[in-house]
Amino acid sequence: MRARVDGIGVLGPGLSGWGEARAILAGEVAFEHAPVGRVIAPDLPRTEARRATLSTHLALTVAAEALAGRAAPDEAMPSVWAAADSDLQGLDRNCRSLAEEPPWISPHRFQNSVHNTPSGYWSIATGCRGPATAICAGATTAAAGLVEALTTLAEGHERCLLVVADERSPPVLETARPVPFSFATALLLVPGEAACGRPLALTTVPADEVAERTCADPGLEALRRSNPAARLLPLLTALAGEAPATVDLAWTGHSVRLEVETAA
Amino acid sequence: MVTPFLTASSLVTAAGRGRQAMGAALAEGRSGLRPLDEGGLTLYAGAVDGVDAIALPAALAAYDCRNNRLAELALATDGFAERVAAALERYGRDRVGIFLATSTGGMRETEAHFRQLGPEEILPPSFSLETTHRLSATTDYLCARLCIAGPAQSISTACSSSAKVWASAARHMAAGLCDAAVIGGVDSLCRTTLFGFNALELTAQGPCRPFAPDRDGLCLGEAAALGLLEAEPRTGASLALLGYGESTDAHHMSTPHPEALGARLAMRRALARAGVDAGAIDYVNLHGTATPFNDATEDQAVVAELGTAVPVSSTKGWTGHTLGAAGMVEALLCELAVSEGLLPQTLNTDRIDDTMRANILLEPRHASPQRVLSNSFGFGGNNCALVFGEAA
Repeated sequence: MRARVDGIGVLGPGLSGWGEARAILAGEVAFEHAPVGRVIAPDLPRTEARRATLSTHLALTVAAEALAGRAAPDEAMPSVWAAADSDLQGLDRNCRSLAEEPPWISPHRFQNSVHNTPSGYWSIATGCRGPATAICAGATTAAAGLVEALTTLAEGHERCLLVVADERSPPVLETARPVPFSFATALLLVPGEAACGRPLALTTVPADEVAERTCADPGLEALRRSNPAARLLPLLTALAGEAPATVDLAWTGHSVRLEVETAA
Repeated sequence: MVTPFLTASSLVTAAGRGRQAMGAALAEGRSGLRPLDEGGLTLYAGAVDGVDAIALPAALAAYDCRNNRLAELALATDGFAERVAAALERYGRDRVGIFLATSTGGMRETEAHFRQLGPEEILPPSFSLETTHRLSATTDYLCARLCIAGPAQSISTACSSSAKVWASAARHMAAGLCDAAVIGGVDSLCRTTLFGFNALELTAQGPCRPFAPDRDGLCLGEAAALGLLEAEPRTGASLALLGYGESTDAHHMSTPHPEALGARLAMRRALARAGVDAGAIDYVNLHGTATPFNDATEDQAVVAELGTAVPVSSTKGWTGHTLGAAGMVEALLCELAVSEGLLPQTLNTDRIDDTMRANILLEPRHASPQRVLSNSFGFGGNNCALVFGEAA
């Protein structure tokens, strides 16, 4: 399957936006870990912004960056939303209120507890009524997201937005899910024959024949390992450079091999 | 698109376990809804009997939770596990994928662990996020249990989840990533959804009554509904996926669009992909949750896209609203309608709201439907419509 990357959004510790992340991943600037501050999604109406979850703010921020300077999403543009876990800060509060006597749950936090919450808020913010698929696949969530997005694009769409985001764990879940930092990235994918964007090809190879690509910088590598969404850092590194590059990502019985071609 | 064929299935709901039991419940008009007490809240719900007695294989004990027990129950129903084993033999392990849906997965156990959270703020060590809580836990369980090595992913878009697994599996088949796939939805009752829908004032006082003038909300249910899809037609295939249509409302997180724009788009896209006109549809299985607003907007959408003649019904009165499993439950009820030649009525409803214009069935109807459509709509305004045809 072939496609082109026509827009990129990134948000993570020390990686505030693609401009900053590109220079770091290309080796022009050293990576310095800095916590992700309070994130407010740019496109949300005020009421929705107040009710939105951390995952929603992360996902919508990178989605907006990937679409910046591009045509606004039309009614049919599909999107794929990949996250290993959903709104965990909300989960923490919901499970605590449900453990009280008598049990209770906030109706707003309940409606925000679904896995497709970021996609729902994004469609409200943009007016896009395209197909939206929210998926998860544990440690291979990002690879599965790429495959779902490319198979969706292959239905004949002009564009497909992929958003991969996982939020940091609340303290009570740190042992069960050691994800200390939030990370999110978005790719605006267009067909391989489009006139814009960086070309890439996706194939699959038996998993036992390849090793997953890692990050050279120890700080970035720690981030890549801890947050399922950050598994896309090696792909972003390839996109940050000018040269062709091959990136293997663990998927299921197979690995996903991404061959990024030379920048135009 | 490729046309995937359903070649095996398993359906476990409160109304019955397996094809024969479910068929009998439909024929006899026997509902699976009963009063259920959960944490002091009493609601009518569709709970599946016998789940507590299910044991997972010892090697997979880490996956033990109600959702995975429900999945295990479905594997042992109607010879489903054996049918999958035969497909794995035929195609090879890495050519069979799995696309599974849930909305809450192992939430019931997560809630129970939080009830044991002491002042030290530590969850009991028995809490396993990856193998029970995570929305991918049931997919992982079935992957390990069935030895599937093809594409594996979980879809979670609330109540449209397990309709969308059909679309995702079809996309992966079209891309040549797999030849067959286990698809389905598994969702189990938990406090989050029981108290959550109650807090949103969307739950019924008694058994839900879709499209009734005085309908007062939904009843929740739990279910495991699994299917085996194959890209090549085979003897014994019962249903073909002719088209799917996906959309979002772009309106509100938990209230449908007042003019049902998203629902209409989903149906229109499904018909377009199937390459058929609205007149080709012989029956519609409605989302029909029995909340005042869902039913009113769905009636509007169905009348606008399909007209007032096509017979339609909601089967939520048998199963309750099984959330992430609902799309697959209702796809399999469509399969029963096509193969048995019987269109189910809207159980528990004895009179239709005067404002409804669709041809909503209050009595079962003998018919020979060739093409049927199933609607699934969820929170976040996420919609999916599926068009099925006879496999022959």
